Amino acid sequence: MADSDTVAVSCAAQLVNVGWAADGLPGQGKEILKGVSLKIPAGGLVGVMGPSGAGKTTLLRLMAGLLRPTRGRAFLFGADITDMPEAKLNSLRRRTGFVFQSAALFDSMTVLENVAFPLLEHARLSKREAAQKADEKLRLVGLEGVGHLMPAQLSGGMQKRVGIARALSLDPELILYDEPTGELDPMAAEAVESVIKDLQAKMGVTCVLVSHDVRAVLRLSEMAAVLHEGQIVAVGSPDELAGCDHRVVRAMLSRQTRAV
Amino acid sequence: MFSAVGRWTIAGARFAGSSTLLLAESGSYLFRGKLRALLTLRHIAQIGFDSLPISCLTLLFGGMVLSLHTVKLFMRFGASEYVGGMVGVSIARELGPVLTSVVVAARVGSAMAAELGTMKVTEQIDALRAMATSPAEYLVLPRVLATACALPLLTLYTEACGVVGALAVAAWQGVTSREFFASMARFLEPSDFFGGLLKTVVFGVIVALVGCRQGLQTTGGAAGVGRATTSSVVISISLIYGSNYLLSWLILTLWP
Repeated sequence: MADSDTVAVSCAAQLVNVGWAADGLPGQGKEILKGVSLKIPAGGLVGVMGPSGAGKTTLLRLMAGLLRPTRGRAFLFGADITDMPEAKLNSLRRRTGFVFQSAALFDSMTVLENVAFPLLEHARLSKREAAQKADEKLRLVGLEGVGHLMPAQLSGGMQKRVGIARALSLDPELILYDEPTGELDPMAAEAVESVIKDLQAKMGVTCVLVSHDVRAVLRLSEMAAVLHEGQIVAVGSPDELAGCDHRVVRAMLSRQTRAV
Repeated sequence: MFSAVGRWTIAGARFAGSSTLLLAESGSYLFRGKLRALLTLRHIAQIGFDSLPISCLTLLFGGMVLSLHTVKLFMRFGASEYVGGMVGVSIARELGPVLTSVVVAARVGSAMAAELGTMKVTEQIDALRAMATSPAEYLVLPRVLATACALPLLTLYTEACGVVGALAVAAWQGVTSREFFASMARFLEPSDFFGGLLKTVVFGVIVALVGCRQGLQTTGGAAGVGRATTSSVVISISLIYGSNYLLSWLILTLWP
């Protein structure tokens, strides 16, 4: 990750000196991301941690092309998506799954319809085939027999897992998790963590996990980056980060140790 | 004062630009043959069914009031044989299309803004995009087409209600139904009727486009959804009134 400014074709996703400002003006005080470079190697599970407001969700959205950089370049599966038209970008998005912080399930559809939605849209399956495949994905995240329920009838942890099942429905090569354990009780958070770990181990999908939960990131990730005030201040394995003497990293890790 | 004018001008230009882009983007899917026919039909049925009672009620009483004033005035000059024609032309050209569209803007346009606004603030719109589905294709195009199709159909029913209301009041005031319909047949031209329906197609596009645009631009949680809903009704109705004048002028120029 030291040479993160060079573009690597083998990376699932990459940000090169990316900045993002809500008003679209680069280099201003309101910049949320300030020159972030990060490589996501194919097949790995990379965590991004940092306090609330550090720009973690923005970083994830830039990787999926939901936001466009105001400076720098963003790459997805080796293709430059910085100025790519939406229609062209959609072919890359079909290879990507996005798990939203709020689960973002369609509240007018049942759980099964939510998970089957991408299949019906893009996989050219019949309704029956899509329902069967959606059922498989729900089983994979440990949710059987809830397909007929509406999202509002599920707990927060179950909604998150439905969100994961929906992200998995097109068998993506890259899954982007936005605070998958945020706002969950410890039991539900543990269940979601084990689903993420199992899926990565079984399917070998590249994962990017963004969270303010240091414990979850260090436990799940092979490599983690620490984001602070829109900049990446440290990157390394959990062991390397434990030995890092950057004050923000030390503060985050010591808070975590005290919490345990 | 000047800064307020400047702010309004910028906001207006922003609204016009983003609405035009949204219409162009959703329209491009139509020309590429990506029309979701089933979804569009479902919206047509929903718009028609939801708006029919209140639209009919509005035109029923609108026709009654119009008839009340017209009969009183025309009878003073012994011109009761013109009542049917006056009322019929007014309903077909203006009252039917405009009142029905205003009701649909309040009933359907606001619902669209609230639904899409809620989807926006709960990240459902981003989820659609992340799943490689265009909100313009999946959400906007079916709603715009459905409203543009449903509004003329709805206007047929509401105009019939308006005529019934007008006839009832005219009969109560001493105008016979024969006299009423004979007058209508004499004065009402096909162009009055079709011109009015043509206007509702444009109003339908305005109502749905504004509702969707305001919904998709929503920020700021529940309060933002409330603001989007209210602004969609205000903007739609203002645009209906403004475009009605232009369309009426155009229709009168083409079919004098």
